[in-house]
Amino acid sequence: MTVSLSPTPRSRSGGVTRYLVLGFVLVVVLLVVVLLSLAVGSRNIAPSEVLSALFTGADSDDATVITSQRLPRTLLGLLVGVALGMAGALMQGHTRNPLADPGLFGVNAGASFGVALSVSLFGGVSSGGLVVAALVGAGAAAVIVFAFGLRDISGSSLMMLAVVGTTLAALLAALTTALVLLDASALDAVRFWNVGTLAQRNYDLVGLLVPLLVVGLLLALYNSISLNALGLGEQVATSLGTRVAASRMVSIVSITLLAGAATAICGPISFLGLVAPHVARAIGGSDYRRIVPFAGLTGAVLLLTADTVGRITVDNGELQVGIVLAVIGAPVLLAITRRRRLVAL
Amino acid sequence: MTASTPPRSWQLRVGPIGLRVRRRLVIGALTAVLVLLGLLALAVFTGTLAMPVDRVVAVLSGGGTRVERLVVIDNRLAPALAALLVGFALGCAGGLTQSITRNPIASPDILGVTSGAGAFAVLLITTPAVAGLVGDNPASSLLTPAAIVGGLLTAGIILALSWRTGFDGVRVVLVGLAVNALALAGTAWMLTRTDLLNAQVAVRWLSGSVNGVKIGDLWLLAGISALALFVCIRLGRDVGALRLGRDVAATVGTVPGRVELVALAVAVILTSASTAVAGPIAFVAFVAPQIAMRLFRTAGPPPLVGGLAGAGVMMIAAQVADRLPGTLPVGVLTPLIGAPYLLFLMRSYVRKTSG
Repeated sequence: MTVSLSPTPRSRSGGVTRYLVLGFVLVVVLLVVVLLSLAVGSRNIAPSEVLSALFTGADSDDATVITSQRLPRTLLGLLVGVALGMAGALMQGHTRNPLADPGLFGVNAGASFGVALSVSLFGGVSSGGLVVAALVGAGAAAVIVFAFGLRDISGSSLMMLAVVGTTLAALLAALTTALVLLDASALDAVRFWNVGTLAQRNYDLVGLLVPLLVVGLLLALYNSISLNALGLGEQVATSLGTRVAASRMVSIVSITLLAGAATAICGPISFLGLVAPHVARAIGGSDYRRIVPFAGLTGAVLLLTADTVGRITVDNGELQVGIVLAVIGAPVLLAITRRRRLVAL
Repeated sequence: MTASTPPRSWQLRVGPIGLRVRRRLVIGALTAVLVLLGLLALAVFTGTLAMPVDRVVAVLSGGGTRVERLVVIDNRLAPALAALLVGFALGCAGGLTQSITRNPIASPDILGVTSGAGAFAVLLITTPAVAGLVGDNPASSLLTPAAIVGGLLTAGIILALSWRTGFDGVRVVLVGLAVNALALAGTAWMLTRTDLLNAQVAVRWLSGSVNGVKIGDLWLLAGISALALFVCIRLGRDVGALRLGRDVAATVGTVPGRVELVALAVAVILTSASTAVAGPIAFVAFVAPQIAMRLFRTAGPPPLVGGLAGAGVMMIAAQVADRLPGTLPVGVLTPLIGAPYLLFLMRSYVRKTSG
């Protein structure tokens, strides 16, 4: 599959049908994964039972497990997966860097550091304060990455941005570790976040963050419209009528909301934002109006699959989704880098 | 080489080996060595426990009481030497890989060689059958060979998956990132599976620290570093040529494949051996050659001087870690020293190139 910067005439004429079919297939895959996520666990429940529990309101032990535990967890996974997939697609689109990922480039680490710092400075912090701290941290990291990444996109600065992003991520992670080692209360706040997980302890937080995630998702979809023009360079995009600065601003807000909220809920989940857009590109081509939603759907499929697999691989307890995701995601990424000609985006 | 010696460089000739060296680099390297010796002296003569200079000198010349020897040799000299050697090995390894891949982030710590070495060592620590064999001293007897095997294995996997007709910088990095994530996830998974005692041993080692290292643990790394020193001097010109691309290198008489293979092997062995001593230390291999390149204005990330810069970074980090309240392992501090400096350098680079 060769990748061009703009859709070819052939794909434009046959594009809409193909887009809808692909989207439909992805949604079907996602539904299957959702069903599996509801059915599989330490207590396996037949799919028919799952459906009856969901739609008829049956009253049994299985139904209670599904509606009180697995359904919220699955919906959370759905939302977080979409969020991280889309955030990764936006970052890759705006920086035109195939390595961009909110986890890899420090946005998730910024959220963690924001929380650790606020706890360390102000002592106990309410759920609302935690959310604000996470979002401020994520936003600051996103702004730094973009400030470095958007000056001049050329071959050498592609790599330079990757250097800056990974440097920032390492710096923020080390700062968080140092804070945690020096201050026990900070350790208490972030120790659950060592590995990303969908198993929830704090549903107050989820209630606060879901609206933010939804706003972030809508902004990301809106932002994807201008990404194709931006892929041709800022000057070409401007001459085509794109308001470059406005588009960058929207994307920073969107990435901050998506990655910050996802990290505040689940802890640092790397790799999803890197892999999902690559998979979406492999499926749907180079048009960002497809890549962004496809990356969202792919992200949800990957995250839920990882979560479900994590529940059944270990005999007692479960494997956190962050671990499984790396184990699932790494071979996917390896396959992509092996198969396709690598392109600067 | 028939070309005349360019200005601002010296021609050295020892038997069949001829070397042309830049004056700035030699003076810079000598200054760096002096700074390192100063740091070593600082580490040995000062510390949280006050001790008169003459007592330290007495211990160093073989005398002193048992307690004095413990303080000076075990608590001061051994960690300082460990920091020096680990830093040199990492900086040198980073300079080699960054040069031959022509890519600053293709350094062993970012590509996952460090994590791979760590993961393999943890695999052995947490496997009951193996842990039982070595009794109660796993740190020195098991970690070193395990980490070296793990590092070589990881590098082999990365190379096998990313080699086409040479190294495509982006592909090596993508594959490396994937392998790194895989190694880290595998490590985390093994830690959740093992019992608390093994997990504690593993976690302490994984945090990256030079405290508790014995002089005896350092011989292997010292030998490997000396070997690397020799290889780097021998390959200096070829590595420099490779920075211009494989085709250019081939036209000036370098055999790209052979040089790449040797340089990579040396880099991987250096990284793994240093990981065995101090645990996976992040960031030094990545940042040291970049700092050296800008400090000494070399054409690319220099392996040898990068090693000196790495030693400096590690020793400063170890000193700071010692003097801070709490027990911060040096592995937490290396990014705090290296990362801001690199970001600062990148900022001025952006300003310069984008006007």
